[in-house]
Amino acid sequence: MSVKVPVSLFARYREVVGRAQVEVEVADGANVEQVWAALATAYPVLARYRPHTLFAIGNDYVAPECAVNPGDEVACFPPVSGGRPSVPRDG
Amino acid sequence: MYRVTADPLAAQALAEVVTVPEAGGIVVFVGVVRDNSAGRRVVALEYEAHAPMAEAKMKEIGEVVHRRWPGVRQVAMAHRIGRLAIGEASVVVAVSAAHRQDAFEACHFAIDRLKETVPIWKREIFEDGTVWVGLQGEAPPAA
Repeated sequence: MSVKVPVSLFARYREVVGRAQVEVEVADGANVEQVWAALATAYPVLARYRPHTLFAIGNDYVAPECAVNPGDEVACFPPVSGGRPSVPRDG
Repeated sequence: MYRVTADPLAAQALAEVVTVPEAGGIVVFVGVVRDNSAGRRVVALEYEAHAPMAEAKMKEIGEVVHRRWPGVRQVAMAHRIGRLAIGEASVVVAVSAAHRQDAFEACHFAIDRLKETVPIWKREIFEDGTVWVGLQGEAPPAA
């Protein structure tokens, strides 16, 4: 059986997909990584961002292995702006 | 008070939020838009947030502050979203405490933690292009 999971996208991810909210279909009992895989299949432009990506369910950060339960909304986004920039900055 | 807002931030208003009779000191940090980044001239910054999560994370930071600095009386944080001009405030953190040392330390901790953990993104707008901070290494978009 498959379930539809709402996914919200932010910043660069929202821009490249062109939408802030999408829905992906995954197998019942899927985890966050499998939601990302379905997302990257539907929107291949996102695939290259996986190493940078942070995940949340509701208002909490979650690991990719985290199970997605019915009713959960998954958020996918790039590193937050204060953390570990890839070029040296003086803050 | 923990808030994400599109409205201009008023540092004084946040200081008043944390003003209580038993506090002897208030420290307010105001982050403002700087006109340069890594040697390039910045024209403006654009902030985007996962607003409900951002407010929840700011509240969590406030709870950590209260546990770590029992002398802290009140904590308030506000972050602005949308396009901001040079010199405009993007973030304000206000902490009141019985004594100033707790207020200084707690405010420093709170702004550092906010920048590390609160889901807010910044796009730097230069005279000749834009960059999402945190993804500086990426190649220019294909289309």
